Amino acid sequence: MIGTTFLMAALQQATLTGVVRDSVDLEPIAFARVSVVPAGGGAVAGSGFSDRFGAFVVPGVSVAGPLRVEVTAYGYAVWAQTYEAVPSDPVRVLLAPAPFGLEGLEVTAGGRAGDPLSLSRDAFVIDSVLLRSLPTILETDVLRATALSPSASASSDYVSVPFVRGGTSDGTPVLLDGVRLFNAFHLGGFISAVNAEVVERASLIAGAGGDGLAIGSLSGAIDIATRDGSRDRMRTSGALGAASARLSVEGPVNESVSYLVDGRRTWIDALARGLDRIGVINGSIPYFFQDLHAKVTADLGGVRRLSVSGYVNSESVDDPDVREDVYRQMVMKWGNAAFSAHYRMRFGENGILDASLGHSRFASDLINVEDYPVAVDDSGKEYDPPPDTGLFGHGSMGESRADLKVTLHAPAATIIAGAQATRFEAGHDYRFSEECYVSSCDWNFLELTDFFHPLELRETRWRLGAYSSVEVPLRHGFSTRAGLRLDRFVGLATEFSPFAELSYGGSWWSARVSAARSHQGLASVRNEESLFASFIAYDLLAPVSEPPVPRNTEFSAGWEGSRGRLRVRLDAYARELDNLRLPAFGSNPAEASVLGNPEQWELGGGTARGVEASWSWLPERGFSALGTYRWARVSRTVSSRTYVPRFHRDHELELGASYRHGASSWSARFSLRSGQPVTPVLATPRIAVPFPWNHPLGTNGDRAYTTLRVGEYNSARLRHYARLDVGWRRESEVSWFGGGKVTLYVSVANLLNRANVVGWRWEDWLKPVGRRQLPVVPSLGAEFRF
Amino acid sequence: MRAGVACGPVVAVLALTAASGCEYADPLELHPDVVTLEVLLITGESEARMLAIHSHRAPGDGGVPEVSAHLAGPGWEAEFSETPELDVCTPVDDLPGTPKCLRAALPEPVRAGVTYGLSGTAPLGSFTGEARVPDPPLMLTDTLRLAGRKYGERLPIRLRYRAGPDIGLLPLDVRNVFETLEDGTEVELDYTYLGIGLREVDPADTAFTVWMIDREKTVRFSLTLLGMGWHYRNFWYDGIRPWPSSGIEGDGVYGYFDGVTRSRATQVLVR
Repeated sequence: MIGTTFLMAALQQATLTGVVRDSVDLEPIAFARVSVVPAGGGAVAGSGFSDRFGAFVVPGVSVAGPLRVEVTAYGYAVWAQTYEAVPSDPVRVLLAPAPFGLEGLEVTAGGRAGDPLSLSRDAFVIDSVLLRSLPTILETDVLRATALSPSASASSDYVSVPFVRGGTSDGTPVLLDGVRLFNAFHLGGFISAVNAEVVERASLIAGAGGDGLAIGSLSGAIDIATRDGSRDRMRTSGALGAASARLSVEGPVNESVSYLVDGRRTWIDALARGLDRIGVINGSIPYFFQDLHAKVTADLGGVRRLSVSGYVNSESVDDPDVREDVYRQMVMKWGNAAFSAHYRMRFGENGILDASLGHSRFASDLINVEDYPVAVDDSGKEYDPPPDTGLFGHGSMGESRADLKVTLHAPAATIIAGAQATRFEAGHDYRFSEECYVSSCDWNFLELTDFFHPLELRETRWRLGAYSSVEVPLRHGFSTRAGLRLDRFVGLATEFSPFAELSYGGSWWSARVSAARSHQGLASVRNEESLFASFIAYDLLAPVSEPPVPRNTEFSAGWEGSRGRLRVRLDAYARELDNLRLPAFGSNPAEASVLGNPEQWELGGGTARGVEASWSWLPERGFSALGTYRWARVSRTVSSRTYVPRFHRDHELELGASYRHGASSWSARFSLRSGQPVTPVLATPRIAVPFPWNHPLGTNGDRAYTTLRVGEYNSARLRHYARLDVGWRRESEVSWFGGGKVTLYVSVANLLNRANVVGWRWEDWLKPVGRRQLPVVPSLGAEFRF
Repeated sequence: MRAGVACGPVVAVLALTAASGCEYADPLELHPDVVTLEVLLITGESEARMLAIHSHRAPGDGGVPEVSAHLAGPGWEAEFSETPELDVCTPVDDLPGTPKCLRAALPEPVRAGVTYGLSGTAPLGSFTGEARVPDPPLMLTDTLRLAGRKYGERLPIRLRYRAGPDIGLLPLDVRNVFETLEDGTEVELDYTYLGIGLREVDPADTAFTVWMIDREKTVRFSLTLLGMGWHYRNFWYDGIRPWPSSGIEGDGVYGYFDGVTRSRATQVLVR
């Protein structure tokens, strides 16, 4: 009887739906708060937030008489409208940008999402304004910006993609508009491959629960959302930076359809060639990268929308001047392509259905021809091998996926249910000639065997997944979320991944505890212990060929509070990583190649636990600051040895600050981190006794050999890391091309030119040579938007 | 060696001011007083030699390593004393630091299958060691007669052998190389003229083939295998702690203490 009464009451309640957009370019606005109150005043009758596509659903609105709908979003004027009754059709909310003087950059072009700490329980959100308010290294970089999150750690200055909570990059997919983008960077990992011009926001999802449930990875994800094309008029924006030029063009096709096309091309090769011709430098840099992205979005009315986006990039090391040189050639080409389509519609009265398709592919091809030095055959006879192909290989990896997701907003619960089908295929084949292996196949002082290892890997695997979660408000400020993911790794295993969270929301603070588990069917060929892994970020993935699949089990607790403009967030977590594929413990893992064959590796595990703190002071004008601190302990266990991985630092402090005055803004970013693990060297003893036999020690000149005695693996720490980056920007209104803005920027990375050492290598076994990270790197450029 | 200064999370939250307190010792800073010791007992010899080097010093830099040591055999003990003849201990003249050669006269020749002890002091502390001289490997081929073909051609030499489990390294040795000239006289040659790639043979295997260059002349020489214990081998390969024993343990002392035994020779005659 009571249940029937409750059901009747629920049926009499109405649902408010709609989409929040920017009033100028009609770009959807996420994270806007929607409140429904009686027009005559009274308690809030319902509230909700717009999602990543600007849509909101406020269920259970029961207001007798006129009601007032208020929508607020960071950087926008409040929108309010009074209705006689709850509108049955979706409401179209157009928010007018309210310029303010925070970092002051392009706020009128679309507003900002808000404080990165507070936008999502599950993610650290970098919006386009924050992205531009950080000092650049060569150019504005979305992946480097995500390292501001306390959950993210840059493994070195050379690698833009961060590691998350003790995981490695293979466990943290980079998603571009919902599809995995392999090796989402250029220049060995230095620059992210996504053009900053089109980034709406990047969310660093640290855990397996909540938003991470739909991802199904070991260590969260970096989810990059591009903006829709402008729907009011054609706009052009771009930049001329130190490393590349980029351009985007967007505009309306008709009233409801918009497009966005953007591209980027480096001019490192052209610049070096020019400097070579005029004698400033000697030699060229036969390297280039380029990328192209396009997106078409159709607003089909209400929450319905369809978007299709495509991305392609390519990189190459190919010197046309030496193509005819039979003695020495090096050609490497690799590239990425991704396609995604997303359709959204209403699902019943209170629901939204999202359907998406995606495909992504990475391919590489390389060949090295070399004139090898004199070699020795089996009989000890010297010979001069002819120029030959030393290192050659090709490979590809691809992921195709289909996703279906339904979000139901019931008055007493929010329910999400989804299904996914993913097919991953990998074929990697890299080989060396024996001469190449012996001579290290050096190319321009780069020993290729430091990076490559003979590898032949071919695997295809389907993953079928289904997941569901429910969020239920409880009494006295408590609420709970719980979910379950079921994965069928076809041919391998079926795995369950549960998630549960209990949270409490007070007047100015909130707290939560959660537990989650996740699995993934992929393994990486990267050996993160290799010193060279700090210099090159490329990764080749392949499905694991045998069970068990890699697994993550995590527990976390968080607290968040705000007073005025100050917001503080604390998180603590503990993770167990099982069934990892890790290279067997060799004599010195740091000297090993970056790429190996995970099928020949051992099953290993890992742990990570840490405390993260972040704080923000984001007033509407003047000085603003954002800081994060993280302490963590991370370990890996393989071959019965437990060690701290090389990429890990116990302490990391990041401070970002910006100040705007007039048209100029100044920014600074300071990083202070404890040193990376290193294996202490105890002795470099020399062997020099006369042996009682004819030993080559006494015949070929090398009469003494040096060996190495080192302590427990990675048991010591390098000196701490510190880096200060500064930036300046000045924005000017110009009348060119019908009016627009030009922003000049200057940045200096590592202003104090501090020598941060990432590792050591032994030269000739006699002396250690520190491999330092970035020297002082000035950058300058100009951005424009018309 | 100091690995680092632990900085608690609370201290680190205090940020920049705490940074100066978090300096780490350079884990690659090598102690200048570390000593490398090399002791290789050779079966049949009545003398033991020890080479001591300050490995972490530049050649000629610093004083002679202050090392004293005793060798203990079955029922006897012999003291090492310094000798000015450095080439007794090493053929290398550009060793780091100022190397020191010590020798000990033994009351009896070194014997295979016997365990010897080592003890002493070095600049950073005392050290001890123990090594068993391995039993000799067995060369199962007495004599080989090969027919020469053409100058420069490669001739295979197939040998059979057996080595016990106490042998960690099994180098091949070429000795007593003589070539018969056209007038019938024999001259001794350096072994390198044979083009035999000197190699270490797998102790776990029982046969191997080496190749020599045909000189189109009558040549005779002997081949032997040298059975060496595991300590040298363990020391030779880079070691991450915990590493296998190299026969010497001590503070600031790294090195090996091992023994070597020669097999019977195989005589090779090429006509």
